[in-house]
Amino acid sequence: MNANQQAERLANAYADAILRLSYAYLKNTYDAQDVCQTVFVKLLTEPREFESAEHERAYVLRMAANACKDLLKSPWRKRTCGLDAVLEVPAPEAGDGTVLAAVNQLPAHYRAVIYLFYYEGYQAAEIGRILGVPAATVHTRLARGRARLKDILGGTGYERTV
Amino acid sequence: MSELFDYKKEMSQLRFTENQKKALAEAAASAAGKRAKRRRPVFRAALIAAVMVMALAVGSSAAGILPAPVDVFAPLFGGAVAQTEVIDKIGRPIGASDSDGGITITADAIMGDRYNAVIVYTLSRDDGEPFLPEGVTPQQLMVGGFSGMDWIQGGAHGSAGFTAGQGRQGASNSSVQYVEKVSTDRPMSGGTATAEFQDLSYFDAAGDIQVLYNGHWKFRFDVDFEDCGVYLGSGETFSQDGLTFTIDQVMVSPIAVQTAYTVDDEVVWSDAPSGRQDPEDARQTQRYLENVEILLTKTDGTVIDLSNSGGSIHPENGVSHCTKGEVLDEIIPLEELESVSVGGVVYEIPHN
Repeated sequence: MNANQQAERLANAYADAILRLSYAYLKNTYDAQDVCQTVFVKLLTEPREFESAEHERAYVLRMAANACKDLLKSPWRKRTCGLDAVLEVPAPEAGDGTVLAAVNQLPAHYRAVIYLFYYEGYQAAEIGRILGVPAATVHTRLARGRARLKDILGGTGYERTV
Repeated sequence: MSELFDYKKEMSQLRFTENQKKALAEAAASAAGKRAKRRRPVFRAALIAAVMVMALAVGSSAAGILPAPVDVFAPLFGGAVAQTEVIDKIGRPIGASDSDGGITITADAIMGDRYNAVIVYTLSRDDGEPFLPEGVTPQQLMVGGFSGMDWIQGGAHGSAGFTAGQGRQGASNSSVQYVEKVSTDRPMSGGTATAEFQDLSYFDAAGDIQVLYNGHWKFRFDVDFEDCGVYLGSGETFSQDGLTFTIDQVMVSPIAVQTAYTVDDEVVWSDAPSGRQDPEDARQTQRYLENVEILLTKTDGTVIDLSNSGGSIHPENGVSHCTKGEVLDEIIPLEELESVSVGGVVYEIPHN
């Protein structure tokens, strides 16, 4: 598989997941495209062997999470799209009262674990490995995130076994 | 649960089209091919920061032992030191500027608190023409030179970067702003800052450095500003990860948040070789520092998550004294800040 084919495979397999995780962290879609670029270029220039498709997916999400954290920490975070305008992706409409709007009110590290848990379906230990934090921290963030969502959404609970 | 279904449904809407994925793949393959010879803009920020840190290290190393470097080298610097007047707590150097090659650099303002300061410089073309070539943004700029700061005591770190100064009254395209941020671990004192800039360059689309303006600019100005921070916290506690945290102080200013707290256990570091972090040390750092949540809430409801801030841990006599905080991405008037939360303990920010 040459570089173009590999890039196409990566984009088809992971671009949407990276876009969503980036949105969860950064609350916009234009930085997500830069995150995609960062992850794909690194995978193309530093190829790795993976034990399974799940292993590769978790690794890609971890790289994306790290890229998002770097962006969040950067005092000079670029707020412009690094790629062509053709790549503009409309952000989902997080209207008042929607769950997405409520989630977007939470801190970034809560949004990330909520996305990985509720959308991607990972367990706490797996999320911990992806985000580089202890599983206990993931439990704490999930619990606090749920509690805040409950407050924001007016009493609806988000209990689910971790 | 319907709400969970709604969340998944809303997130599912977020996807690239097939054409966008194809464009992403092509861009990634192209970038990967060029990567070996490409210098990425991130190096620019690192370079500027490294120059800044080096200058600060030089400035602080002699403090208290030798005459301040600026005094020793005064004959070389030349020129009078511009005075600074303080208006609304912000220091405004008077006549602190230098011109060369049709470009004038001016120190506009200094503001800060006890441990953090921001200095804003304006770089402008004397002929009023656009400062940047078409298609070049301020974020692509880099500049050589150094900042001599004899007013810095103790350890310090900082960063610097360019901005268009958008939203600033009177901003024009014939100028850009250069902002230096400095944080120290000892209270700042007045003194003289030396600003020295050498040649302005930018990274082009291929990542190569292109010289924009050749020149050398050097001037000095008094550092004077009033501490614009508010100081909160007096022994409140919270518990997490099996530890009890006592908040000693929380400082909030328009440019930074800094917290100091004591943990009821003394962290014991491993004897890992220099340059290599032991996994247990990493876990301890998470418990004592990284897992401490800091949230800054604005009056419009926006929450700024500062939980990823840097800090320090000093074990001593059975406890660990920690600091954690960072300089903000933008200057936010205190009137626009409602509260700060540390480990779930919420402090309202007074508006005097």
